[in-house]
Amino acid sequence: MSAPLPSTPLVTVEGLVKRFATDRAAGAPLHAVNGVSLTVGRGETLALVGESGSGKTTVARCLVRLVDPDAGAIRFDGVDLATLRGRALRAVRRRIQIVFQDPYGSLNPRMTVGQAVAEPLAIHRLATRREADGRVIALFREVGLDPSYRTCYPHQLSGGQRQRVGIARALAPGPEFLVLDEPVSALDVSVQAQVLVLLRELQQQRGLTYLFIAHDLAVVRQIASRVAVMYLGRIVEEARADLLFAMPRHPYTASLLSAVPVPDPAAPRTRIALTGEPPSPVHPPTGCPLHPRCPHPAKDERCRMELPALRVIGEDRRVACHHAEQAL
Amino acid sequence: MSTLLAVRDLTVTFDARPRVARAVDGVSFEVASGETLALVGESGCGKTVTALALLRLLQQPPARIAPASRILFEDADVLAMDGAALRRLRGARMAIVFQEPMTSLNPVLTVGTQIAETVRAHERVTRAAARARAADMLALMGLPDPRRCLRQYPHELSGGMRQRVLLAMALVCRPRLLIADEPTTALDVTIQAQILELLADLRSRLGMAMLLITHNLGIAARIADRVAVMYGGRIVETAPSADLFARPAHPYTAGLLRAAPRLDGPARPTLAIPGTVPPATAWPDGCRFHPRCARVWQRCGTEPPLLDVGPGRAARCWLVADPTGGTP
Repeated sequence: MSAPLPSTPLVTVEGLVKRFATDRAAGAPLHAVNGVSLTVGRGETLALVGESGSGKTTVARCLVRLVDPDAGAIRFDGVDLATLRGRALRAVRRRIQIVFQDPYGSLNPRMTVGQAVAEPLAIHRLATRREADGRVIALFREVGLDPSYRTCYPHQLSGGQRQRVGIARALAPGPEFLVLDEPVSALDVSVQAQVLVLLRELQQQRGLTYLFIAHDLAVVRQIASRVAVMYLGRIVEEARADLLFAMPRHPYTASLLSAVPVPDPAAPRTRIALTGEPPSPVHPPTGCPLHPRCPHPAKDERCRMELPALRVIGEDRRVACHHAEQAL
Repeated sequence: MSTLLAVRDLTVTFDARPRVARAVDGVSFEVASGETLALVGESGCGKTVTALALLRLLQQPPARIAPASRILFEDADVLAMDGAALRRLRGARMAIVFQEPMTSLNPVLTVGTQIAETVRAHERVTRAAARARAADMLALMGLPDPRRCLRQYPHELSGGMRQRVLLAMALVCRPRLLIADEPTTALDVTIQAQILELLADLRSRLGMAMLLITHNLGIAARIADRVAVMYGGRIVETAPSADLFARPAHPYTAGLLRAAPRLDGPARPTLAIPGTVPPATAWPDGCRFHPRCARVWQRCGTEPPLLDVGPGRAARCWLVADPTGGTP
């Protein structure tokens, strides 16, 4: 399932940091994203994977500038997004679009879904009012929705249909880069597969680049060319998808993979168990953020003291573990 | 094994003027003592309404349980019970845990008070004895510091800890049957794995039976002895877990298995089931799955009964009677 190697990066993220103030003004801030660097090549799908609180959604929001990072740089097609204002920012925003997990929450309940898809055309002045309806019809067809649905309101559609509307709306301004934030998590299994097929087709036909945010590794395996795994605001492993699924090198990746239940009662159950719960991102552990829960047999004093750097291990892979060379 | 729960021809309708939604339509199944049965299906199939009906938790109206329906638990007729009998049943003999633990817990009472309240509702014990029972139960649920947990409020706990608290509350009176409605759906995958291990361990230690409601085939495979697949308010297939996953007899079960992305075995694209789940106000005539079925043939215009497939197995599909159906 591996796509061609990443060519020219379309998106480059360097040292991204995002802090949020916690309840008490004097309290320590929450480091949602703590020094994330990644690149997304043209036409590839990079999956950003992690559990709740890992910071994956905050990275997504920084990428579309829904939140502004505290440090670090995001370059899109060579341009630093943080420097853009006004018209220049709007021009880049046309090229970067986002699809949210819950289309019910992201579609205006008082607008028909046809109006919702037409809105970005007006905002970016891409079509006259007369042209817009024809464009909406074409977009509906492209995402597999009968154009007659465009006079419906969001509540009249099923979850799968609403997510197709969300995708059509994101496609309307003709983007090159789509941030997909848990786009199939809220859908039933049979519908989830339909939307994954659609996303793959759209990518091929339009030459799109995807950042696919997800917590479900089985879904990620269906669509990703590369995978980056986040834990407590940092990337702990990044690798070509087939390599990562065949042999995870970070103990957190390994435990995530082994925790996913498999629909086969005869499957061997060798779970690499993390002990306890994820620590608070307000007070992350010293050293390696995973060390209090880590199952690695080689775990030692260094893990408690020293933050492991994300370093190149083998082919097409970076791992932030002092013991990445040793078998789990 | 003796039959603990027998459901016969359960039909639950909702008044959805001008139409009637037949959410559960003629469902029959049994759960033996100590057995785990998984009720599997996508949203709108009737699995949660079935669970709520078992404990008489459906508000009537708008719900209506058809007069021919029978629910026998330990040979007592649940649908004929008065208020006092229901209070003796709920939480003592038959208990339920829901998907979202925060909404099942009272936010202004400590965990200890809530669990002790359950004990004192059913048994004549002192406050101190009830609290001691609560602490023992929390320890059994694997909470690291049960005494401290007794004094905590729900908002102070993580999602995984809340689900353990809810299980402690459900199991403190040692019910014979636990109904678990999507017990891990709101949890991260590593915490989900911990809770599934706990459930598997508890049922063998406490000797209780379990009715697991889930949309996740992997979870059903992980802990169920038997599986019943629901579609369109009906059970469409029932089989021992091993048989169901190895040789699904109903095209819907087979379709769900092909649609579910998985991590075991070689990477292969999932195959979607076309179409969407019909609404409960307008089930299709004949076999309810036929508009989405790839193997539809003439006989599907008439709805099949549950047909015998083998020992302990049945499927609601005419292909069982004639495996070559529709193919020349």
